[in-house]
Amino acid sequence: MPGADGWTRRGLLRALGGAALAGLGGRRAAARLARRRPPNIVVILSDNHRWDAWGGAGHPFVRTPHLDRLAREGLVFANAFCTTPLCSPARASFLTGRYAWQHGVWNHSNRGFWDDAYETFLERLHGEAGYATAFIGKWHMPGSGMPKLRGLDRFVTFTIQDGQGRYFDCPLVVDGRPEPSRKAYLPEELTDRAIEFIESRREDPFCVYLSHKSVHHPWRPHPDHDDLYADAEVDLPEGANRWTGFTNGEIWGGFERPIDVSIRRYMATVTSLDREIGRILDALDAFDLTGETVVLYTSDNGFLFGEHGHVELRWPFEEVLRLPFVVRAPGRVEGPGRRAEQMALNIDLGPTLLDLAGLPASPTMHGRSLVPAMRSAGAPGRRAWLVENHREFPYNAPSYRGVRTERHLYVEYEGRFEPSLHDVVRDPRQQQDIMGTAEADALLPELRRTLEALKRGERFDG
Amino acid sequence: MAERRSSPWRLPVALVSLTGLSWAVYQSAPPRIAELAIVPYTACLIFGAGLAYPAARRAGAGTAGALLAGLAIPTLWLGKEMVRVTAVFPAGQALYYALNPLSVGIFVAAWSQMAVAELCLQRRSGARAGWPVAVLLGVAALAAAAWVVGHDSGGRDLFYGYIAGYRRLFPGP
Repeated sequence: MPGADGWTRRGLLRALGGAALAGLGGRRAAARLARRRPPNIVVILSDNHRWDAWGGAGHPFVRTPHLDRLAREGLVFANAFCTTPLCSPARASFLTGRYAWQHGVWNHSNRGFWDDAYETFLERLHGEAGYATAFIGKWHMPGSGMPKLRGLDRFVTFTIQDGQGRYFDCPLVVDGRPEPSRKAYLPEELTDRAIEFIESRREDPFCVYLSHKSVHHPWRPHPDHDDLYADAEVDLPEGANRWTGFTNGEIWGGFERPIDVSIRRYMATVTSLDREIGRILDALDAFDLTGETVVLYTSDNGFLFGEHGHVELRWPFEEVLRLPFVVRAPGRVEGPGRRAEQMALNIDLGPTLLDLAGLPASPTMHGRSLVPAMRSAGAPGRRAWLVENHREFPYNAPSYRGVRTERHLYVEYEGRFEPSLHDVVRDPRQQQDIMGTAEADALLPELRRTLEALKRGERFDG
Repeated sequence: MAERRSSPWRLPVALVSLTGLSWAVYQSAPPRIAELAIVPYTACLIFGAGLAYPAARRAGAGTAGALLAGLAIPTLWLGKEMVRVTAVFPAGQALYYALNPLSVGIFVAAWSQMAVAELCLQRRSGARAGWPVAVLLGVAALAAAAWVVGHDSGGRDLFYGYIAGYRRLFPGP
């Protein structure tokens, strides 16, 4: 299904490919062509998937064989973060490469809206590199009606439950028209749609942005996985009890059962999602596209299951800010299976994918390409970035802005909350706020200067 | 010798005290004890009205007094919640917080229990009470039905309706 100018671009790519093959001949030429042709791209974005809740991160019981495979064959960014730990702003940051204060989607409700004028990496891949593009899944950004995204060949989403969707029998909106879901389980349906798009456009370079509802609450695994972890031993975080999520307003974070039961359900939903990741990988294998397709898996933010007294996201804690971030880019990753230590952010997604396609980042994008870090373990990393939240009724987390360096997280809050400072290397669970100590007094001037500079839009990218 | 009636406030005050005490324990005790303390706290919050209202009535409380006895725990709980909300949101939004589905559900539960208790007391005594129990029951039934049906009415459950109301009342930025 060509776009308005898709046939010309595809024809040009084919002509170039044919000329190269004819001129150079044989497998070597094909290999050279493969290197020149921009890679296909599949971005799989999940929801509220904690950085530590998968096998490759060493979780004690959750099974994610397909994500583990992706990590073995690719690269894990071990220090990946969201700049705003909330679905809508984080998703806008992925698409635009900008911080929430820059793109204006502050939260789910009424503080800032998605503006159709925003430029996304999908639009540029489509318009400047001839990609066939599809956005499939959760959109969930505040605004009036459906967005009018430019540069999309296929747009499959849902609007039910304020855009959150339902795990089962979720009605869809396909290219603006309502359509029933063919599969009962939403992640399966979305994966089917993604595979269909890949199959139909496999002659083109394609970019599929597969945005799952999983593993957002209410955690609903596939029926095959309903009791998968029913007997798993769950250790609650220090200080939490089974009912932490029912009290002090935490119930709005999506709590509906005792924490240990919720954790088992959450992990089972992770495994169900993993199966869908596996179906994408299998489809790429079956279509013989694995070698020329970049697959990137990440999440919008993490989740607190009782840590720091919260069953929620939004708070500036590592459990929420850190992301699983796995990239498989055949021929483009030095030493597959390794971990990259450079700090990667959600705002880096767009610049990275554009870089892979041979395009420069947009001037409006604040993120940086991660391709150098994929190519070399020694590539310089970012030194500091801005973390922000804009309060959202009726949730407990206040508005704040902070600075995260490789070692520290300093946050200034609005309202009746005192600033906090944690050494996240020495104290990764953030149990000790070091504000008021001599150590903090020595650190604060520089951290405050950096924070003010980040607020002004300055970069500390190494 | 005249029959000596107990104070209409004895049980309601005891229940309020138990609620407060169990909350204090829940907030400060180690997790295992906190998990025990949450049981009486939750039970008082959800079922307290069903105990306090008829106890107050039987002890001679009038309509207003019995309602006060029955609604004391949910009202105090809601007040505590609204104060908590002011840590992040302005007072007007904290007031709107009172209308959230959870609070409404708790008040509907209290109201329903009081209505049923009043009906039972009337039947037992054979006398009509001073307030319209049929209206009370009707309101409780309608609210409960709306709560249950609205929980997933076409995918926009009560919470999203509540948030839509918030957006209208407090547009921003």
